[in-house]
Amino acid sequence: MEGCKRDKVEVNHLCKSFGDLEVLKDCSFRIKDGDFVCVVGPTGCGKTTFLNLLTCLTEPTSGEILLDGERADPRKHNIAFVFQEASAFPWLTVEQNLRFGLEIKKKPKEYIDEQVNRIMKLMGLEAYRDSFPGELSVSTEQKVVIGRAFAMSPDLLLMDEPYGQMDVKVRFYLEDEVIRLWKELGSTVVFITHNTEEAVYLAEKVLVLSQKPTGVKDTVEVNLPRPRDIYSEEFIAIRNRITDEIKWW
Amino acid sequence: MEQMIRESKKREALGRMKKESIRNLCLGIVGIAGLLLLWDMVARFGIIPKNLIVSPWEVVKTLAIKMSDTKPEGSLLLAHITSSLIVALSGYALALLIGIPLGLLMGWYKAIDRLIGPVFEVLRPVPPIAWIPFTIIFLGIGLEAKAVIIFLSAFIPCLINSYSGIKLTNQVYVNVAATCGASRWETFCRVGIPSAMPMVFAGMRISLGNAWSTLVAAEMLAANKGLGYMILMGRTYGRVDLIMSGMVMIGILGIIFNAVFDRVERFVLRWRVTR
Amino acid sequence: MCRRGKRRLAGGWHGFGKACALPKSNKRKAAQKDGVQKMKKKLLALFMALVMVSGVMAGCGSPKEAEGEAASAQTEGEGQTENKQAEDGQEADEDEPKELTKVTLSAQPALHSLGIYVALDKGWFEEEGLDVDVLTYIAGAPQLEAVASDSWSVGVMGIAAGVTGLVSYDLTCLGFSFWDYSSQKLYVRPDSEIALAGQGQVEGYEGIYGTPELYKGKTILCTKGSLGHLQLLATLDALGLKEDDVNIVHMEIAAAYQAFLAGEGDAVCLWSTFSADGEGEGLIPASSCEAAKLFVPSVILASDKALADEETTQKIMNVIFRGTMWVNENREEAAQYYYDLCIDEGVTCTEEYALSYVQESDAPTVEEYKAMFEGDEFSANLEMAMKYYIACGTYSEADMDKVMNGFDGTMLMNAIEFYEENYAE
Repeated sequence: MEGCKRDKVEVNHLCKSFGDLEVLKDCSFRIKDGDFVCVVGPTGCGKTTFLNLLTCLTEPTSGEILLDGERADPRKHNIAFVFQEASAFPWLTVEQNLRFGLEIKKKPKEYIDEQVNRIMKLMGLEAYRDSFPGELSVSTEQKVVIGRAFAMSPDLLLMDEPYGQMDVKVRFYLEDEVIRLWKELGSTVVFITHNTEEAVYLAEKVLVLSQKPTGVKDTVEVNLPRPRDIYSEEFIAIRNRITDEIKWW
Repeated sequence: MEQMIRESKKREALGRMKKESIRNLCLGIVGIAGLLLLWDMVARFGIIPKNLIVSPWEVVKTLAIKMSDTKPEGSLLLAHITSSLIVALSGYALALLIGIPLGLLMGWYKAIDRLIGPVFEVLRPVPPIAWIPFTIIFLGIGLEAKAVIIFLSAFIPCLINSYSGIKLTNQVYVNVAATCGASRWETFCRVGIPSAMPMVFAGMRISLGNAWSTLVAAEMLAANKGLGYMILMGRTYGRVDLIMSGMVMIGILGIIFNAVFDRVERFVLRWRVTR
Repeated sequence: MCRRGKRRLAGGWHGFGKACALPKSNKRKAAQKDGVQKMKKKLLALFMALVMVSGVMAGCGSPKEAEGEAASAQTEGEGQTENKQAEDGQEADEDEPKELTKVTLSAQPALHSLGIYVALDKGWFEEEGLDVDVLTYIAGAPQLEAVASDSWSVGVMGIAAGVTGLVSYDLTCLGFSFWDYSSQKLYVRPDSEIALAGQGQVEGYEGIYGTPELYKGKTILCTKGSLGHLQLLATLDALGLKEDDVNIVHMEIAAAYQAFLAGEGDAVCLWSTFSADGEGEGLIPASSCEAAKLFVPSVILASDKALADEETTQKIMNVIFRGTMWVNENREEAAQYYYDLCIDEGVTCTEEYALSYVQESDAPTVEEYKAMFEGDEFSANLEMAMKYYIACGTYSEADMDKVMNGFDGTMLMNAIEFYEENYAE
């Protein structure tokens, strides 16, 4: 039950400015352990900056981000990030890519073997074990990236519009994939998208960001059963509500 | 399904590559044959005076004779080749061992770049031959001195290409490593270096060419064996056939090394496949 | 390498300037009609080219103007008459054009070639109707390469390069200038076992230090193909050793000297300034051309093309011999010529060294030349050099025949006769 779930991520009065440009202003929210949260907002509102702050790739100007009650630190915490751009290491095979994060974390070899095999089976990547990303299609490569992220059994999985470059069919397929993995592995996922349909399809909770200086405008609960029917009235209603909130015109 | 498409594409690509390599081989043979013909004509019809050129057949004859005759410069062809290989490869190996790591570190760590960069920029324009007097004083006249002359010409492309290669590392890959919790050093080793490999190999290839072409200059320092020495003696005694034989031998060895290098590069960079 | 000689300005530059001014009527017509304009431009270009060519030809044919230039460089009284002629003006040129035969010679900044530079400066070539350019080379190898592309017709060089010229470049030896062996020495360090062993232990060659055993396996820095190398071969022969008994490392002389001072090698072959410098550093001459009894001269070589024009080549030989004799008899003034030559060519030299250098070797006297010719000693020198080269495999017996047949001293003898008739005191 949600009330029993502890806070995985706590964001308190987060602010970020680049020089005079105030990007994020006084963002505060909580994400429960095991939640699937989508973050939507108008283009250029600072979604990527927001994620960069969560992964400590950038320092906040003020405010704090807590992971399991401690300051977020990629060395201590298990954070995985799936970028917008294809980010599978081209010089590593699929298997080596999947092993990467775990090797950085210096996990024992047996554990890495087990985990990587499990992910490959789960995602149907066994046939590509010794292939290089350059030999794969874009969608398979992105699967590798997602697999690499999930292989780390991350405390927090951050995904920055990972399907932005793909066509509809591939996007639907990968959306189902990520839901499947999320259920299987119980990770906490923060998924950035500008596609409200995708947000409503995937998320349990949708954070709506405002225009710059960005803050959390609204939090929308999505309590629809899975698999979600994108044509159902409730789905469309939630989608429209979110669309209304983010449109700037 | 995707697997079947992938395999069929691979077969198509292999077939295309085979046709292309046969075509390229034929073009290469035609090119070389054309050059040999032109060379023979020029020598035969005295377009260039006969004291300054001999025909390709004379070169082949001289090379054959030099396999078993030490005259006039005192060593067999194999001894010259071995000596030159040792000098060139020593200098080349030194260039790789110093140039590549230094370039990678300079490209990754700003402090190292700021420390060594200005010194490198000052020394870079100095031609290797200009270093000969210093190498004689500090290293003598043996293998070390000659290898250093070769090194000075070969290490520059290694360093510059390694530097540029690692500077071009895609920030996304660096971010992936950072989010996994990798330190700067781990990111350097596991992301920076592999990412820079294509440029590093390009630098190594240029360096190999530089090492070969500096061979004659290095052997001018002091020698009693070597292909460069053979060329110098050919010049001293007016034996154009010796000069050209030395040049052809250097060219042939250069081709062989390039071919070997190609193989090695294709294996190490086998991940560089196009979709 | 640099080109010395006279630079001629084309006498027709003035005419060319006039031809550049277009008649006004032509200009107007050109502006009016396109097709006619293009045709006229072409004609104009042709006309201007013809004027330029005729101007250049006029310039070529005015020796008096060229002589006037050379006169300013002359130091002898002969120059004054020519100066006066030049001052009389170009009208005299146009009345009596004197045809000078153009020739290119080659030489080195060394005593053996000094006669050529002296003769050039004193206008002796022009007296013989020759317009001479001299190409200067620091070493024999590039000098010989240049003759292969017909860059020069007659040249002076050391006997080591000379032999290569006869074998590989089909040149002919016309004779000798100065004896060339004085400063050619093999140096060792004063504390080396060879130096400490002292002289007098090699039978027949009392000037050589040490014993044959002491030389075996030694590393000797030497410029292969030079007279220094020949001296080394003669030394090894005197010691009963072969080239393989020592380790000869080929180096250019400057680098060899520097390396030797830095502690490399056991012995080094030096000559001229390097020998003088080395002895100043305390190095011991373990052997030399004299000690190894290698008394060789420098050689005068001519190409086939030069031999086809016997008259011109004879004139060249006449002047070279005259210049050589002058140097032989006027060492102090010759020293100044040598010093200036070195400065021009970028060769390290001091005035003191120039004076000692020009005094260290002699040219044979006229009587000695005659005696050598009658006793067939000219070929003997070439034979001696070849003997050492054949012994170490550089050349073969077949090459020896070529060298022996490559000598023709007739022109030198004629030059000696000419000199005795016209200039000898």
